Amino acid sequence: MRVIYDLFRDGLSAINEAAERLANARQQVSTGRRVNVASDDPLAVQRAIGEHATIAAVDAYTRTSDAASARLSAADNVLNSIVDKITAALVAGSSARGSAVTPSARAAAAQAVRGLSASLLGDINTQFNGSYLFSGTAANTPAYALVGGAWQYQGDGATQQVEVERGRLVSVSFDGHRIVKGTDSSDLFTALDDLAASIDAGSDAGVGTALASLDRAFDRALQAQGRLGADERGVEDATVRLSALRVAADARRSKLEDANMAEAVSRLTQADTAYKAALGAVSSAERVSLLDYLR
Amino acid sequence: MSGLLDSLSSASRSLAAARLGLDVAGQNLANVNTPGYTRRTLVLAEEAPTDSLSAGHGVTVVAIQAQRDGFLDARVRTARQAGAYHDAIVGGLTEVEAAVGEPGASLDAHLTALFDAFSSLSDDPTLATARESVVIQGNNLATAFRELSDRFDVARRNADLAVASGVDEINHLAAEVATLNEQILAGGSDVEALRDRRELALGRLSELAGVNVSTRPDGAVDVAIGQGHPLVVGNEAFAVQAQTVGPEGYTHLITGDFDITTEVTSGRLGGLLNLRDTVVPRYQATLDQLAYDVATAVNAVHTAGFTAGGAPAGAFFVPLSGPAGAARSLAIDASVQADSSLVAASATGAAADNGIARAIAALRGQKVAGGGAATPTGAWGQLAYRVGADVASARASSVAHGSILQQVQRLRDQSSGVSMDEEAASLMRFQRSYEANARYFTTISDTLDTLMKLVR
Repeated sequence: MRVIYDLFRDGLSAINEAAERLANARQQVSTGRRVNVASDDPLAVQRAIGEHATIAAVDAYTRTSDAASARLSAADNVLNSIVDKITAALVAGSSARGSAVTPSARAAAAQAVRGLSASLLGDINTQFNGSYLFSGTAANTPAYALVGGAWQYQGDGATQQVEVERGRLVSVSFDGHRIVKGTDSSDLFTALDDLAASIDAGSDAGVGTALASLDRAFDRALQAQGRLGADERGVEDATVRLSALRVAADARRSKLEDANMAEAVSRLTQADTAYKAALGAVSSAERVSLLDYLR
Repeated sequence: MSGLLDSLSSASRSLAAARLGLDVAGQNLANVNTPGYTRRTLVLAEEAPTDSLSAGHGVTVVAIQAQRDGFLDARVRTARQAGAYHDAIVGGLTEVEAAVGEPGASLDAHLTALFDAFSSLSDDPTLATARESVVIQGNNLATAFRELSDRFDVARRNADLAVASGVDEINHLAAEVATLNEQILAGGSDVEALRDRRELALGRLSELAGVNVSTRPDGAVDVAIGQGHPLVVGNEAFAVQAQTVGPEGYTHLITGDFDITTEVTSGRLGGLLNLRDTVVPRYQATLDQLAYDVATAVNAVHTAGFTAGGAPAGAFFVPLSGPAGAARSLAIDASVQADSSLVAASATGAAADNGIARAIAALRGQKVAGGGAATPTGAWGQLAYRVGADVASARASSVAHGSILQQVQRLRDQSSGVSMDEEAASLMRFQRSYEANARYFTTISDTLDTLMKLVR
């Protein structure tokens, strides 16, 4: 059989194929990526896009969780402060009851209660990044204010909720009215005003009524703390789960996109050898013909 | 019985035949690298004796033959058609594939960034910078859709330009084949060289447009394009017209009164037309559908919300009338663009309500694209998969057909190609033949001298 060896057709195409494989192997090793264009592994690319989207969603939830955690922590501090101050007011009111209390002690107690009231007003009107935490979703409005001589809740009954993981909503703003008044007949500030006035007037009955109201406010603040604490734990749990989800998604993404370096380096060595072999084979094929032997 | 003078004539013919053999080998060696060259062989025949006591009158040259195999030539043309078709698709799709980019760094990244921006807005709806970020990311997404659509369009335009220039080449080659047909029919000493050139032109024609070639009994060839439309009949060529048709102004192939654009389904032009009219438009339609789905889904939620000022919100994206051209025309509503406080985050009008921002951020995980079959990034993943799979498939076909072409060319070369070793052997054989015949000539000449001395 006649065998015709065409340097350009047979030789160079073999060299080109080997060179292409070598270039691909080099690219994998130098970039560390198994997939550089969609055609390298279309299915892996499609799945990698999905994994990137999953990672992005997890990251978004993580950012939301972090932000929620900061707000919840701030709110928790405020509620702690409220509980402490109501406790102080209860102590001040209790100490001002009875006939043994001197007028100056009454005046001091009343003054302390008024100071606590002002401080509690500051607490309930706490702002976080410029938003009122206890005004529900009316974030630009202070929760409580004295309007026309009466304490009024200026926020709304809704709360700002954020999604810290798929399907789990956490409130990061709070209904101040639910804490300050709830279903009670009078709110915390009115009770404090009444308490101070009753102390001034030496009315033990009035002090008793006000203290009872403060007791209920104390309970409401504790309940709010309990709810907030549960949310804080929920956010922490979510953060842990999100972290695990991210690690898993990133591992899947890496498996799809990243080169197995040991395998890639081995392939590079193979491709390099194949390329040199192709060069050698082609050059030796062209070196000899019958013409070399005819004299 | 022949005389010594006859022997001298016989030796002279043998010398001429050996010299011609050397010339043929030389010609073959000279054209070892000439594209389309078919090796020539010298056909010799014995000059038969004229009577029973004659040894014969030497050798005579019957012909110089070209070792052509019409069947293998046709197979090479067919293999070139298929290879060129897939090569054209690979070439065109490579730029589309580059536009698709890498996972997490292409359109999917912009989709994610927009949903992330709404997510950040939901974390704190009172933050002006969060609204600004939503507008920026919305713009980025619209730009990404537009640029990708433009890249698809450029791929189609490039394919169209290549089609138009391909038509010129077809007409040039068809005219060349017709002229060569005429010259071959006219006969002459260089007919085989003309046939080589014609085969070369037919090969290039086949590579271009997948033509059908039929050989006539007189040696001329007829060439048809598409579904039997004549391109060359004998010595006459029928030009294909490249006409721009329709609002897009793409080149159509017209021959006679027929638009044969859809009939050209093989060769480079077949690949380019498939790319321009089927493959890339399919990607474009998917991209448009995705842009339309995203814009419609975002707008549907957005318009139910309230701006930072508590007023009912309008559309976030300029509403689209339909999927056609959606990727190119996607843009943020001008009023939202000018004032980011018009971005809706609140579902109630309250400043800190984030119902709308949260709902739009949640669209990332909802099957709002592809007729409710995929999430936005999922739909993008499907498009990236389709492009990648098409490129990989075309590349594999191109490699496979390249191998087939090599095999068929090797087969043809086994009969038609020039072998250096074989020609070297021929050189030696005819050289030895020439030397032997020269010796024979000398011997006869010496014998004649001896005879002449007898006469003196």
